[in-house]
Amino acid sequence: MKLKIVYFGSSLAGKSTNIKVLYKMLKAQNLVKGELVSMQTDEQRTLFMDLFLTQMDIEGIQLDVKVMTTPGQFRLHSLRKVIMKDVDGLVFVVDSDSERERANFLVLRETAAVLKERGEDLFNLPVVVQYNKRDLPNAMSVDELESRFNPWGTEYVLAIATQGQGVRETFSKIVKTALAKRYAKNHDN
Amino acid sequence: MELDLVEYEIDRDIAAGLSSSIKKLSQRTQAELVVLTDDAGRIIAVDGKKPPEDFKGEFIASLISGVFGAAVEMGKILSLEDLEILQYESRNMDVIIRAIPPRFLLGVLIKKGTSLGTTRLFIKESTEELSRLLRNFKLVPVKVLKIDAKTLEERLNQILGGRK
Repeated sequence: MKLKIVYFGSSLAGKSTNIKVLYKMLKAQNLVKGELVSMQTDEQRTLFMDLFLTQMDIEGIQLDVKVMTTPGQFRLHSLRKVIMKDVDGLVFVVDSDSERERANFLVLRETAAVLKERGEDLFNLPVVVQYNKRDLPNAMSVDELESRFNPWGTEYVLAIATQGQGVRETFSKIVKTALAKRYAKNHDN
Repeated sequence: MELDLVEYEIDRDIAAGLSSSIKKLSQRTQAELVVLTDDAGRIIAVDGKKPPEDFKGEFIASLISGVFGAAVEMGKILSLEDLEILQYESRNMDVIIRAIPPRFLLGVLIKKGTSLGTTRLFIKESTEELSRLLRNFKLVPVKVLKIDAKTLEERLNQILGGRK
């Protein structure tokens, strides 16, 4: 089974940090294949994407997950469209900084528009929301964030990605959610 | 809630046809690498003088789809017609990416000095053959895993958390 998981969010929300920290964690467990590919500008900003591959065995079934980020800067809208093609699951990395509220909102609106152009509905895709930078003194409350940035009512994770908190949990939840949505024939017992 | 997780693969006959076609193109062009991918970067078939390990093929497929997709977006901004071929050259290598409608891409990497005209001719011929095969592209179920959502999450947490 193959999954394409994309982390999206506003500029500087912590998407690349999530990917880099996750890559290190999974590499230490021999769960990654190859290196982390990162296309960055001289200022360490993502120009195109960060990408790595992870492989795991679930009860005898091999699961290959391609983990990617979108570039967060608004001028790179066209590249975000390319990366969002046929995505299986999304992680919405929300910057908890109260001063980034509008940036978070704009990226949510833009992502919905990008997917709509491709005939997909953001609100029908498997999504996990991560509220990052919980250590900031001016972080918005979880209730405020939930009401503004979780229109799916999906699972959320509190994170401080720079310290590794919430990174693994976010990934685990999106893999589970994407698998259930993309590969499962559901039936209630 | 119990889930039946179903693993799919490309239909065996179609996969064999695609691999054979890619191999033929690789031999005719003496390519370092030939990659067939979908436009989301999922690798379908690969061949070449030194076929890369699986994961490198996946990286290359992602980059081919990314580069071609970016060029298509550039074309849209300039109101140009749909892009069919993208070609770029480096000091030691030429790369040709050809779209195969509706949503596949063929990437060919050749050493500098190989005739581009001949290579493009072979690519054109292969594209027609691949296009016929891809028209019948389908995934078939090969394995089913019965698992409930809670167990799946616990299993994932064990694997990702390093607790086997």
